[in-house]
Amino acid sequence: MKCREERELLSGYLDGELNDEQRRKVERHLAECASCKKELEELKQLDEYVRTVEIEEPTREFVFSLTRKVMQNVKKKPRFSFFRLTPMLVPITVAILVIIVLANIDQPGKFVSLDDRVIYAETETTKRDLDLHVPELSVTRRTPAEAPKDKRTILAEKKASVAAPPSAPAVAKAKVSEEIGDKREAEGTAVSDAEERMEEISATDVEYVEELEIPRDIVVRAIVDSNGRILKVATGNSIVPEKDTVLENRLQGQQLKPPVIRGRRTQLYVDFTQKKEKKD
Amino acid sequence: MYNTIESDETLIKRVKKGDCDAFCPLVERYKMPLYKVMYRMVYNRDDAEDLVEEAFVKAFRAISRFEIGRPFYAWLCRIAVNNAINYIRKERRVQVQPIETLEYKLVAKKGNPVEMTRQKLLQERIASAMAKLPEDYRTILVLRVEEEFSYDEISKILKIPKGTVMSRLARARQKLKELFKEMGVYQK
Repeated sequence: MKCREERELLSGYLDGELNDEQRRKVERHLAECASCKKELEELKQLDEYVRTVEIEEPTREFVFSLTRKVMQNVKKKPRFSFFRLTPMLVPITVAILVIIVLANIDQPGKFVSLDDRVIYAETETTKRDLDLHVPELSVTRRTPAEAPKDKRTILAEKKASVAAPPSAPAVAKAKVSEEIGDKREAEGTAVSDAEERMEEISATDVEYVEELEIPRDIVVRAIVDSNGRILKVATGNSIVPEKDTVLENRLQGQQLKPPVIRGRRTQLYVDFTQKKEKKD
Repeated sequence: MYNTIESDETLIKRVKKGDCDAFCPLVERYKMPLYKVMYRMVYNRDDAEDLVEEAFVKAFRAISRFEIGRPFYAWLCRIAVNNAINYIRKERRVQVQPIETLEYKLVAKKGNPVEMTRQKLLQERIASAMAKLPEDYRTILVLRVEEEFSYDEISKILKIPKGTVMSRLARARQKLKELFKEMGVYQK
């Protein structure tokens, strides 16, 4: 078996895959070894035999509808591969959907009842950030003509704090301030810009609220629709105030400046609180 | 409908960008060559057809891992061959089906009936011998003898060194020769 090394190379020689040195070595050997020459012929024949086995024709279904079947199969589970490739898209998509749904909650015409528990965070947001116009409660005398000179009681600051999480309806707090030194009996016109603007709006057909007394530390919460009309009123000092029928009867239907958030009219919870007196 | 002159590379780029339908011409283009390879591995039409379908589905799902610039058919063969080897190992058998269509062909030729029978018998013996080969030998023989892939390509398809391709092919041929003798292929 002195041809052993050359025989191992015969297969590679047949396939034309030997390097120059190996090929020359095999060729030199084949010239003088009949046995290896015969072996090479047998290998050639072997390949021929392998190729002679007829391949059965594939079915018509394979020929005509394989592509359709493959594509059906491939499209059947796109979610599987999609999610496997980009697992981060799942939470992102869910978040986007939630935002879309919540963004549509505050559309005009939709009502939020007081029965709905409103849970909101007390995160202070500046007015500028939110482009929020807090509706102002107009409190004047019955006769706007003889409007009081001094700023009367209610509603001064538009220090707006808005519920931060999008999961709660927008909540605006208009702090009702009682200016130090103001006397209720004193008469005068509304001088604050806010009141002036409110009078413009309410001059049409609005009955004004005469006066609204709010005990300290009590929140008066009103639901104001997108047209600025008070729908419901509740009082309390908890996050979810209780319905106050007496106050509601007084305030229901009152017109406020339509609340606007991000240039869009919206329904709001407005909290009125009495401002604490500054300690000198 | 699926005919296109677009190159494999262009089509794959489109598939990668999400155009699933760009995969159709690739299926059309390679289904028959791949069927031949699969048939040589399982010697059974139904199994071969199933394996081709599975291979294309797997290739589609793995297309993001395909490196543009490499030969698509060799890559497809690797997926198909690995899938077929798994299938054969799982089934632990290769069932050689009687080749009916061949019989029809020979009848159609109106050749000598004796020669016809002899040919049919020979082919069945060869197929049986091939089926008896260990699957890694059969695979490498099919890739080389049937598909005429270079050692370099085979080395990439099977992920084995080029030296191993040469030695495994030499051993596979020796083994097949023994099986041919055993099965009486050389008997006239």
